[in-house]
Amino acid sequence: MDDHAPPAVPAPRRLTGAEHRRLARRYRLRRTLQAYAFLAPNLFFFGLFLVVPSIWLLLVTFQSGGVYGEAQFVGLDNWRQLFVDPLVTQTMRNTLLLAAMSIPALFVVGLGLALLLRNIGRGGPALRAALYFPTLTPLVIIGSIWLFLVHPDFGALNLGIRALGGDTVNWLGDTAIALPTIAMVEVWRGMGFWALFFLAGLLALPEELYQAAHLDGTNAWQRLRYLTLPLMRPVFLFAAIVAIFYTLQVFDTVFVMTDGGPANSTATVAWYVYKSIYVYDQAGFGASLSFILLLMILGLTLGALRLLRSRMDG
Amino acid sequence: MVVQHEAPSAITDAGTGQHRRGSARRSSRRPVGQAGPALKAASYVTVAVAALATLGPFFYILTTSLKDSASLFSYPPNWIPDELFWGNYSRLLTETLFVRWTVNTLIVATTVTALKLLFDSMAGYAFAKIDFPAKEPLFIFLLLGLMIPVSALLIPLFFLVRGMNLLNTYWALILPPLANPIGILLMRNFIQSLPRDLDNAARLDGCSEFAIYRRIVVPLVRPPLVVLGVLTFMIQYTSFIWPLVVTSDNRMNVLTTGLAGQRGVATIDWGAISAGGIMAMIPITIFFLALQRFFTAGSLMGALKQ
Amino acid sequence: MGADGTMVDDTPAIELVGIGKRYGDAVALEDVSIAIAKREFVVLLGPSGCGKSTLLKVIAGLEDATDGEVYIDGRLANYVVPKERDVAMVFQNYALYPHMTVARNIGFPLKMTGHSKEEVRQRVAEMAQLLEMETELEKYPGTLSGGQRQRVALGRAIIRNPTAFLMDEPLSNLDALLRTQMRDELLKLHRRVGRTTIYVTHDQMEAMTMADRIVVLKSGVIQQIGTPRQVYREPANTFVAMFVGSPQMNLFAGQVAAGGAGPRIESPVMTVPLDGHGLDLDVGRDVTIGVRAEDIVLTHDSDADAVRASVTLVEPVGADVFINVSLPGDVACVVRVPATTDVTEGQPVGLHFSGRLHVFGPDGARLSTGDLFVHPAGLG
Repeated sequence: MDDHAPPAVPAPRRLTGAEHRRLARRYRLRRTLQAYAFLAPNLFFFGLFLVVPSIWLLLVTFQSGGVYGEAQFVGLDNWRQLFVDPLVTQTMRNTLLLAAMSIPALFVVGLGLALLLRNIGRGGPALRAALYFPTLTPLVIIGSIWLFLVHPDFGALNLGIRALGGDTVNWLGDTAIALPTIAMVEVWRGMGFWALFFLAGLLALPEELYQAAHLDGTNAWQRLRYLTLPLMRPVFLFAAIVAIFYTLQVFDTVFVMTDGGPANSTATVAWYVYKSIYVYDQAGFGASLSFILLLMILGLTLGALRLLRSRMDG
Repeated sequence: MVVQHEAPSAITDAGTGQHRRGSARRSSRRPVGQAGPALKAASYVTVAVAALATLGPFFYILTTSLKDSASLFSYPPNWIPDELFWGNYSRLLTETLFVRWTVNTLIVATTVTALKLLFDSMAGYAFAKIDFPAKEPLFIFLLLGLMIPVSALLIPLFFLVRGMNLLNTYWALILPPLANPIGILLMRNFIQSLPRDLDNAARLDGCSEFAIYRRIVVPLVRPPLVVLGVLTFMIQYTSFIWPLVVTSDNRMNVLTTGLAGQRGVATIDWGAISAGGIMAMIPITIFFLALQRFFTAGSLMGALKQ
Repeated sequence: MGADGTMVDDTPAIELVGIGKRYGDAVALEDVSIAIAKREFVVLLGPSGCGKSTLLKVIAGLEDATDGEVYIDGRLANYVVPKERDVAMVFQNYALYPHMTVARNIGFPLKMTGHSKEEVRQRVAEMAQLLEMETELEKYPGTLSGGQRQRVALGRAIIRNPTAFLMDEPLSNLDALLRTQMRDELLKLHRRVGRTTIYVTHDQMEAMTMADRIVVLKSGVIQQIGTPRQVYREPANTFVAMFVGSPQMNLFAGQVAAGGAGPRIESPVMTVPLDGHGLDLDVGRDVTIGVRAEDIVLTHDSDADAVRASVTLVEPVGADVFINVSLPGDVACVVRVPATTDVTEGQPVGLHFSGRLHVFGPDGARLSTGDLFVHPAGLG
């Protein structure tokens, strides 16, 4: 042990501050380059296919044509057109209506199924897989299936109504009913996904709270109202953002089932953007419309955030 | 790819226990409220009805696909055809490019998925485990990209891809989806949950950053990689509007655009469309069932929270 | 060493020069300097949050020092990546790779430094023998007990023959019995392998039993560097005095006063004449007197020279008993006596402060240690 007489007091620093700074810079640079090497593929594609198009989008709004012929600079014509074209307000109205119909329905049905799924032990995985199945299905195929199911003459829905002695419904031919029909398809497709999503949220809730509430003699409704719903608020918040983001972009079902008809009663903003490219050769106008879509999504998302946040504080 | 090493508790120790195979299923059986028998029965019945509602239409087009055009519109309808008619399937296979569309879809979806898994786990590693300047602002910048929907960028993306002379190529279908940053967020959160000491130990054991990524991190984040893989594959398999915009050559169609193109305006060939729908569902169903145990909405939510 | 005339490499294995580490405005380490000789076992001791783990990480290169220089085997290491610093580390929770078997865990550092498969296999086998883990080689860490995991972590560190081992509280996750056992094994291993070891702990027992030298840290600043004996017998300040030793050293507030027979320290408890001790203290200065529990002698309360006290608590700790007593002025104090001593709570007793005394200044720094004679308060 006594071999280890304390070595002499360590020498003072051997390098100057400037030498340290130079070496440190080189050392850190090497680490930074390594990090960016890991990020490089993502940054490349993010820049090329997201940042560049986002800027380009703004430039395109000042042009006309460009898909089949040469693009021309037209100044603010496209933006002016937005306020003149009655179809713009109609597609915005349709899109918002579709969201207003389908999102609350998805939440109610999804949460309801999740609450019920919680009581199910055996057979649960199979039932969950069945509910989830439509989410796997391309919307084009779902659109085709439902096109068939809602066919006025030989579709399953009307056959059923007729068998029960009711009046048949012109699901996609009636301007007042076509949009609700699309909403119904969206709910049918999404309910399984949201049921599983909410179920995951429910299962993550602290069980002790429920046991305590049980001991306090609360009934099931009170536990749902005063325990489950408040605790699930962060889950609802996240779900609302995702649902808004998705629903406002609805295109596939509309394109396959109605192509915007009848009388543009199911035309959505995303559908109109698509049409403006090939059908109308109005890419510039479509780009301006894309901005509207972007603003709608951002606005509604922020609105949902604020609404649920403020409730959380209150 | 789906094989998990037989070291479950070790993985728990490493702080990733929540991603283990089967744990999601086990925890979902946990009864949160003690349901009485009546409530339990009612729950079964209601959920079963909902499941019938989701599966019923698929059964309906299955029977439709097996009917000839004469018996298709018979009234009263015969829900189960007396005789199976395979003509719709053979017509689809011989008169359309269905096989080609399927191959296209699988090529695109598989390539996008493989590249996304590689790129996103690499980026996730950098964000989770390496200190570098501008890390936080860069991460937030990438997340802002999540707020921009693809349908809003349709027009400039179309011009861009056309300018690169890529219309009607696989590149046009594969490259733009790689810009989506959602997987970076997912992988960063998972990799961050691995204990810091683990990569530090590897650092001292002689690993370069890439060796840590490849030998330590990738094997330990396999479950979330599967989640991201299933998600990406599904999104690519079902994507429609982007392939519609960049393909006009029928040989470059994917399943969704190809089948949608079959929908003539005047006459609708219900039998062929039903057969196409059924056949298009086969690969994705097999894929989903094989990996289902890794994929619950819960595992996804767990990764995206915070 | 070197007495026979051979050349002795006295380059320190690890040398730290003025190491500082800041996280924003928070200071984690300040001006830490020490040279650690080859084969030396140095323990970094301090309460949690004192910066001892941070110091270890700075040496390993897992954290960048904000200031100062790290030398490993004489070579500036500040700007050398961890994998090239040639140090191995054992982590508090072992940090075993959960997806690798024991054999692959132990062999991993060799594999990563480009050794052949055959060599890795052979050295893993040797290591398994040394650690008595031959039968566990194909198991995964998750199936091992705490002690076994500890051994694997040690094996992974030792197998590479690094310049130094860095150990970050390696025994703190084990239960008490296993901890003592592993402590002995670790020491034996150190004697055998003979590598420089820097060992971080907050457990003063571990530090006292294992260290060649102890470095006591508080709030990122070195309080004392010394052998266990020095740290215990000559604590550099009140912090070290309190932190090292069980029970804690008794501290009494006092003041220097002038007396007929020369200056002395007066406290409510005792009076300490300062003549002949080389202590030149200004009259009126506040000081702290420290006495270890075993340096107090218990007598009967009838002893006229003794300080009177009454027993408040009797704590048997095996061979000894800690007796908590209450002194005049409501001052508490702990006395360590053999377990055979017969005392009961509430009993009046007398105390003799006849052994070593420590005098600390108002800033806590040690002024002296020595055999000072003590009178009961008010006498002398």
